[in-house]
Amino acid sequence: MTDAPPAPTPLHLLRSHSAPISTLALSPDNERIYSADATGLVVVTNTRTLRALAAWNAHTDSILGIEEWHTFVITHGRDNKLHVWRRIEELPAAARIGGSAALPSLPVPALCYSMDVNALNFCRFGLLPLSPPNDGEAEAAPTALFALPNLVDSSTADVWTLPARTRLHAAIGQDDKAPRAAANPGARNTTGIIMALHLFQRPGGALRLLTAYEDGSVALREYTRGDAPSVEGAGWAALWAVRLHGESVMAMRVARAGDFALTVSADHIVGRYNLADDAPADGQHGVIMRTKHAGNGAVALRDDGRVCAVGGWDGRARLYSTKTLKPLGTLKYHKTACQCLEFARQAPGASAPEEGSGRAEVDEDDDEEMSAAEVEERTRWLVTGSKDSRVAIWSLLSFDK
Amino acid sequence: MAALSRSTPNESPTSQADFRKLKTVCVPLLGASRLTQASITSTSKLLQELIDVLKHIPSENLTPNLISYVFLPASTILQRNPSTGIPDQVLEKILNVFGLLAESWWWTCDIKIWEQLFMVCGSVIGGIEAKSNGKGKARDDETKQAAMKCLSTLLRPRTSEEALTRFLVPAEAEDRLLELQEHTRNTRFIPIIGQTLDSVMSSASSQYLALQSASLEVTHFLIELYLPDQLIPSVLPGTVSTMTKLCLGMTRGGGWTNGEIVSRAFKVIQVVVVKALGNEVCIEHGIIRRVRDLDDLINDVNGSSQNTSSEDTNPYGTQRTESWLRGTATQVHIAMNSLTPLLSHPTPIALQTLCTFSTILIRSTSLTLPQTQPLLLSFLLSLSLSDYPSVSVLATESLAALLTIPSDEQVPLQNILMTNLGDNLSSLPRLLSTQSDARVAHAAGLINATCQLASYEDPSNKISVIAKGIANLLGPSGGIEKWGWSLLSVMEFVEPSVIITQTSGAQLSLETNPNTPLWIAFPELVFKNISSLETRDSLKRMFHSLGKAAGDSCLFAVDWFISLGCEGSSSTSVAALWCACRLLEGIAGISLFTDRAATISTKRINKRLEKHARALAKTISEIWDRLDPSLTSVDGDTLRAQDDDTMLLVQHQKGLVPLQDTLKITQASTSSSKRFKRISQPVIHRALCLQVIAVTSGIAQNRFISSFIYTLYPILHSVVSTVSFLSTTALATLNFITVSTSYASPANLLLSNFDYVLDSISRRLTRRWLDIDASKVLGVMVRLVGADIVDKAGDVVEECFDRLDEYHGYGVIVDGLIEVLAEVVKVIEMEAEVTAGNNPKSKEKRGIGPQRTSLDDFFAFLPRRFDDPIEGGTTDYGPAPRKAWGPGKPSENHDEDDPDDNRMKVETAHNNELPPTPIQALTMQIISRSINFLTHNSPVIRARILNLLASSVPVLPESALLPSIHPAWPFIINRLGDPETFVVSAAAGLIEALSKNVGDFMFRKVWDDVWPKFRLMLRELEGGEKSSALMRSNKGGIGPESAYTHSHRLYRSLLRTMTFSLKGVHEHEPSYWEVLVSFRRFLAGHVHEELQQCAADLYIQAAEINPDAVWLALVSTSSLTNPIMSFMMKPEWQIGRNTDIVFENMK
Repeated sequence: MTDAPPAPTPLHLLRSHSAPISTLALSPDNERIYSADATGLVVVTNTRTLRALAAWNAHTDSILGIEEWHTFVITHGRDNKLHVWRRIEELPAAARIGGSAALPSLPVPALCYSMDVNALNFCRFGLLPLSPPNDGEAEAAPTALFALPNLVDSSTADVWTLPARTRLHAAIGQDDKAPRAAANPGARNTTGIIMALHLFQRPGGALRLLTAYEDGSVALREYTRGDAPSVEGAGWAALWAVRLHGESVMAMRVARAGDFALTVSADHIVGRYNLADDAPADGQHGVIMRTKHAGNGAVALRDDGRVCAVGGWDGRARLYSTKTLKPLGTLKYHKTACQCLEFARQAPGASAPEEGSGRAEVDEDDDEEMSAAEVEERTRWLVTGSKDSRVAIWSLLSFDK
Repeated sequence: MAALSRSTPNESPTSQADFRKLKTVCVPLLGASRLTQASITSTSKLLQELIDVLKHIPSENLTPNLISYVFLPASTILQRNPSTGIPDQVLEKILNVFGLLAESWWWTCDIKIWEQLFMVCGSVIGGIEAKSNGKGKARDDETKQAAMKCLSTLLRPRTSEEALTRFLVPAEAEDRLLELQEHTRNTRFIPIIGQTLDSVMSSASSQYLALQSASLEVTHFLIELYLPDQLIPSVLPGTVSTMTKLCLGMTRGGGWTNGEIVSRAFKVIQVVVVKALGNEVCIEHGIIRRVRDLDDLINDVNGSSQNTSSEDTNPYGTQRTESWLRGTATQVHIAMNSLTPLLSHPTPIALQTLCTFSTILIRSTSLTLPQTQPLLLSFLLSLSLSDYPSVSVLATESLAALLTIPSDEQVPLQNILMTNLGDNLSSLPRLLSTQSDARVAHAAGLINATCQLASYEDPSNKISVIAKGIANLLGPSGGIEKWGWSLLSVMEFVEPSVIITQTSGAQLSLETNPNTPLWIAFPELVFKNISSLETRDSLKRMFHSLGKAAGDSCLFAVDWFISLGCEGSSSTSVAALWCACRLLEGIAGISLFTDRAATISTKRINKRLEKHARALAKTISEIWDRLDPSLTSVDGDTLRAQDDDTMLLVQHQKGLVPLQDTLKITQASTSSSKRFKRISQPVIHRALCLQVIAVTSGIAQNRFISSFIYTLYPILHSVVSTVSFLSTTALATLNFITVSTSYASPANLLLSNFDYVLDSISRRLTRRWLDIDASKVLGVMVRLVGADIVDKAGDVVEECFDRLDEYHGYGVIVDGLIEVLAEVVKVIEMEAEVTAGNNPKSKEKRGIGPQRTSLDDFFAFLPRRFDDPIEGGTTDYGPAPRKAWGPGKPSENHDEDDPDDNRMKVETAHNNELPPTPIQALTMQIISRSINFLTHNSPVIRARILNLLASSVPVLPESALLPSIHPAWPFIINRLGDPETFVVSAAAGLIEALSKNVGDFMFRKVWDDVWPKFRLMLRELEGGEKSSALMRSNKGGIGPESAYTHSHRLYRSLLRTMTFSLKGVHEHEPSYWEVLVSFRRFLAGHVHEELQQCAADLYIQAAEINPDAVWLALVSTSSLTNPIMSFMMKPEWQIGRNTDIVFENMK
């Protein structure tokens, strides 16, 4: 930290919200920032003009998660709803009329479908798109799986399909509840409710679910049966469970490469979990890494998995190297808790299949508004959202050696 | 002859009539052919008649017979009388007659007669006939002119059309001319013609314009048509020198020569030069060889000495040889060079001829006068920039023709042109440093002309060679590093006279006039080395046309300049920015300095340029992210510059210039550039940065909108600058951008993009990076945008306060930030006025105060007053029912720990009230956080905070306001004892606002805390005024005269506060009487009108509560009603008028 240049001020500040920001997301092509606040308002901000493309009240309560999926936007709110919206399509720069700070009416995206979900435990959905954008063009509609806490029991998880909205697996994690309950009678579930989950696929194709719990533990499960659907957690074998935190896990993030995960909690520990090896020796599933600052509410990983950002309740975002947890810098702007943060994509991909085909030819000259340097600079953005209802955009160093 | 005989019968009727007319004149004329003193007049008259008759006969009607008939009497006069005997006027008329006759006789007359006439005229012009008779009296100019005219008629070649009108075959004209030429070229006639040429040329320098003109014409004819070829080299030097002198007006000693004369003289030079040493002639004589292909080269070697043995030489002729050519060419070149001043000749005809002259010479002497070609080309280039369209079009077309039509000259000319361009560019620095304005303008003009030529619309597109050349020059391989540095090192701007104003004029005009934008011109920069406007403009035009000609390729040069410009704020950087800006203007075809209509380029802007422009705008805007230029530029540049000790002085010297010094300039240009670096010009640098931004906006036009995110802040930052030069530039920039991005007005633009500005401001108010001007920008924005920005600026205000807490010791910072807050509150106020309708803050609770004393009780008591005495006598109204301000009470219990929490609590506490709007929340935040500054050690800030609070009072609901005011009350009260009067008056203002708006809350506070203080102050002020000499002069000794003193304001505040207290707060009986008594003196007649008015209002208000008390107080002051009240008596105050007003308004 001593060698590093002084911490920057935010590159830009977005003032679209008047309530604490609850979650953030960036589109895969880095063109849009999705920010959602505690009142259920979602604002889509163009990263070029830094102006809202759309702002609408998606939910009636705080929003837990938002994610762009092909031409859709999935929002998950505390009002026990999960909505899938059709993404707002921007006009090309040439067709746009001069922008304005205060547009009279912003478009509201069309609601495609919604479903009732369990939002008791603040845990956002975990999305696993099944048709990657590269070869998904031929298919009519993209499909995806997503995991959510169980409708009845918040300590177990369900896996649903999109757009069919059918439950594929139910109550994952129920089977290993029994012995624990026996060992500790009286408690309904020792692990507590699920705090974060991540659904992903092994290279072999097996589904895996990583869940973080209220008691500070993290468990990895794999679906061993070939068929679907399953109920009561049948066929989901627990690979390992490890408890690194003394407090409940506040946030978990899995590296884009899928080789490790990080968790943060109210304590000063950052948990690092090895997902690369199928069967590592006992005690090597997770490593405790200590930081100097307790009380972290959010964590984000850069695409290459080398840098992570941890959002603290003191409003600061701290950057660490993921391998050694060496501090890389502190971003100080927010006055109250930094509740969510997100890195821009380092290799911005196509956001939707229909654009994917054209993307190859779209090189510097055709990009009317941004030069290659600016696009490159945008990949080094970090977006933080805080309880003080502001979204800050930071431009980071590449931290390359 | 056949034709003639054929025509005679046809024309006989008219001929007969003509003959009769002529006969009546010719017969008496023949009779009077012998001139005597007596007959001169009659002869002269007859001659005049003859001339008149002849003039009326069309020349083609004059048959040879008629001509002979007329010629006889006229010639007889010449024959019969000695030359001395013929007076000038008679001779003039005779010559006129000859001239008229010659017009048609030319065709038919005997060659002898032609020769005779020629000689007569020649002798008259040369004064030979006068000399021959020994008297030496030269004929006057009119006679000479008549002779000249006659000669001209004799020499003039006829066209074939003229032959046709005479029913001759068209070839006859040429045949006849050939016949005459043949005759003149025989050796016998050559001396005559030489003599005539000499005399004709000498009369060309006459003062008589007609003679001058005619003689030049004759010279032209003589040289072009009649002079033998061998003779022309002999007459060349004389002719050229005479004509040059004539053109330059040397013979007349100053002033411009008449345009037509110049034109004719040029024609003569042109003819003589072409005929003497044109390519064709010289090739013919073998002194030069044209090399077109390889065969020519072989022939060259073989036949080098082929033509040396020339044909028979003429005794008067000059042999054309190679050495002759070399010598003559140099001479001609010198002569041509001396013609340069004529480029600025005021008449278009002269310039047009110069243009044709140059064109023809370039064409015909390309081989013989190679060294003169650049000069002639520069003539044409200069002429193509002429203000006369006829001249410039002609010159441009000639140039285009020369450069495009394939010929021997085309390729060399193109090379010359490019060399010329390069030379001129590299000579500019030298010329600039020697302050030779005219030469700078000339060089710049030539470059300009070359560039304009490059963009000449040309169907064959051959001229693009030049455009390519220029593009190359400004491109990566053009070596801009070579000429650029030296140019920049001598271009230096004069620091504009700095006028520091408290608020910039630009800022004011932006705010006061948001909807009607006027066209605001960019303030002009002044060069140190250039004194005249024209020269500066020509430099500007030069860069424009360079940019225009080179197009996109000169983006390299622009980048080079910009990169230099961004390095610092040294004078080199400043000059570099200027060059870049002008080049960009050229590329885009826009100009910042023309008026509105011309700003929007109609040129198609390509994408590359547009992208580049936006990138430039971003780069330039980032300059504002650096630290203050005045701070940074000191260390870097200066230290570097101090290292080199080679001090080179570039200076302007008058008189003799020491040679070695001038030579050194070019040698040491690099060190001189370093020297200039020392001068840092941050203001001009910023202004030029703004100009670049403006130009890029002109290029990108509508697409520039995406650059607002970077560019708006720099512009606004400069708008609020206290240096008027910078702020005006910024305003002009804003205006230009508004126009080029098609916004209706600058205010509109800012309104639409305030989020970007806000973003920039907030980044500059952070702890790491605190820019004081950012707060000013915010202030402007708040004023301009209003509620929209305030809605979103909550966090910025918060930042302001955070910085206030950190830097409360620094007056400047605090002042700036507080100003912003005041602006915010002002906006809030306006907003509140708009939405006043739905905010019922009326005083329904009016009745809740302490009971007013009713006299009924008194009257009831009066009869029984001795019955049982009441102890005490004073009624204690002190513990007033707390219910009155009950509703406000719960909120008072909250201490303001966190504004957010506070808001929440208030919300829950008052469910019946509307939740505070963002604006109200913001105001609350402002109030709660600014209260600490009530005790700031700067009185200005104390006063400002008080004003801030005062203006926020009407905006806020009581529930939000009172909890903040309550804990701050002791501080507010203490401000009334502030040593600075304006703080006191501000505090009084706050109390006034509070009394007006939250009277219930103020009851106890006013009567317990405020009034005693006021009373004390009034007494002190009264005492002070008595001891003040200034005040004592005023008879009544009350109140200051001026409305602009603090004490006046203080009095006003006191009066108003008490008025509102009486109105909004319930009266407090004992104090009430005191108030009535204390303020009486303000009703006095000498007091300032405004105070009188306030006082009257106070009493009117007081009368609503207790009219009797008011009556008593006022009446007993002015007149003695009762001895008991005599202590109140102050008749000298003369409050009568105001008393009447008060009584009138009493109900």
